[in-house]
Amino acid sequence: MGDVLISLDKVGVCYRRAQGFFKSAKSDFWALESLTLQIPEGETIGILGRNGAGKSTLLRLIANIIRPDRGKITFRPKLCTTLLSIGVGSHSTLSGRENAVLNGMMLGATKQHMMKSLERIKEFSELGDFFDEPIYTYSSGMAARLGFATALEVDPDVMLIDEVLAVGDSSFQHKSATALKNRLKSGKTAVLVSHDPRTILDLCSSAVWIENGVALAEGKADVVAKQYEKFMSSGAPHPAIIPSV
Amino acid sequence: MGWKRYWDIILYRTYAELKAEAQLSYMGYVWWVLEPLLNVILFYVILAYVLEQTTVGAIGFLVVGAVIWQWFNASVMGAANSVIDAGGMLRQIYLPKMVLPLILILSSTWKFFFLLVLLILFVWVTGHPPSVSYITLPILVLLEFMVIVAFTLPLAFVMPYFPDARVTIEAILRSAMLVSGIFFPVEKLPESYRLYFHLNPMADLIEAFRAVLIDGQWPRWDLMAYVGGFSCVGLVLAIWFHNLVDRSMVKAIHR
Repeated sequence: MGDVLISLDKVGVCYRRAQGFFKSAKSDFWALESLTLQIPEGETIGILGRNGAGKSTLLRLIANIIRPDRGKITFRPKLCTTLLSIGVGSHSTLSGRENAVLNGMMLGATKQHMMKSLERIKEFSELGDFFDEPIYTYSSGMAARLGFATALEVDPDVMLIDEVLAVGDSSFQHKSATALKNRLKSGKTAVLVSHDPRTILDLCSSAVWIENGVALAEGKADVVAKQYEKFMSSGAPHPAIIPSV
Repeated sequence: MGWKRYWDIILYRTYAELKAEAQLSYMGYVWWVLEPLLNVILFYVILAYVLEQTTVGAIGFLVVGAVIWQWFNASVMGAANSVIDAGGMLRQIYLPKMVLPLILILSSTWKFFFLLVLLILFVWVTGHPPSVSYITLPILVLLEFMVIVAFTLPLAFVMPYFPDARVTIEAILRSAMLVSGIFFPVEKLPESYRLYFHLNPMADLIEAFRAVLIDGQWPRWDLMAYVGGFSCVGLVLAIWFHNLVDRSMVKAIHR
């Protein structure tokens, strides 16, 4: 096990629900109750859980987008963690080339790095001459290919992946999934969120199962995935989301 | 990494905003000039012919006021919702929130530079040639930029928490325009009101630009020092507030 890059110590995140002026104020909702987790260098950690379990909130914490309302999260200094997202902050009047630079910078890469990566992005995205056309002329598949190729060139210290593993048509889906798998297997530190235990089993070395903002199980990916599957197939009712006081 | 990257993002997005605006309408760049021009003509016609206000004076007086105000107005209007509008993006990546209003401020600044050049040409042909006091123009422009940033940043950061403010901004700006001396010189005010009038940094700046561009005089340095101090305090508070809410603001955006 490598150095710990990110460590979460009993973190909780609270959302204040949208309120009208005249409504009572007691509607805090803890999306994460108390979670302790360590992310060691070079490992791919899977986060399992149902919809509303707190997975996305956890990713936002790790991506340093929000701070916990209680508990503590520590990052190794100068750590770059980025959610692998497709086409974030893109601008429809800019060309594919310009958007690749812009998206890359949004995801944490420097301008110089993106300029150097442009040819690889052009090739991987299979856009050909469209690469220099404004992206409002793109089909949604083309935009997704550009976004994926760009995100792949950004090389953060910790890569965060939220469900999306495949974009585009079936041949590009295969190509993008393979590229991503290779990246993960090559010793990239990553956190992968999914509600599908098979994905986790396939790609992760260890896993955490969260439910209602707390970790129910933690350990080797195969063990946790099995527990989760058993729980799900037992037809457990979806527990009501109870706002804590 | 760090600020260099954010600065690159700001410049890139500013470029994209300007390009988009120019491309998405048939007349493109022409609107940057035409829109404020139409406003000025409207003001002038209403004041000079409909209300028969003799105090309006030369149209140059009005034009300078309107152009200087336009920069402030366009920046605040454009940037106020910048953080809210970027909600979807901000849930996926981290950006210092001040990046967003700065993009819109820079794009309105670029348009202002176009207008400023035209403004100088206009006052020149209408009988106010450049004078030595023009050397203070860069200072005045910098001061107004600081005032704009000091006002706009906190506004953009507060919006996620008070979405209702969205509705009121336009009304507030319109009232602010009326008390910023676009339509009248400060001498028209009773002596006792002038102090309050000068508390408004935009009123001071409009007066200073007029002194330089029309009368060929130096701006009032005491007022410029006040504007500089005002905007510095404002900037410090804006950055303090930014750092306080930078990583919780996202949770307050509900769309």
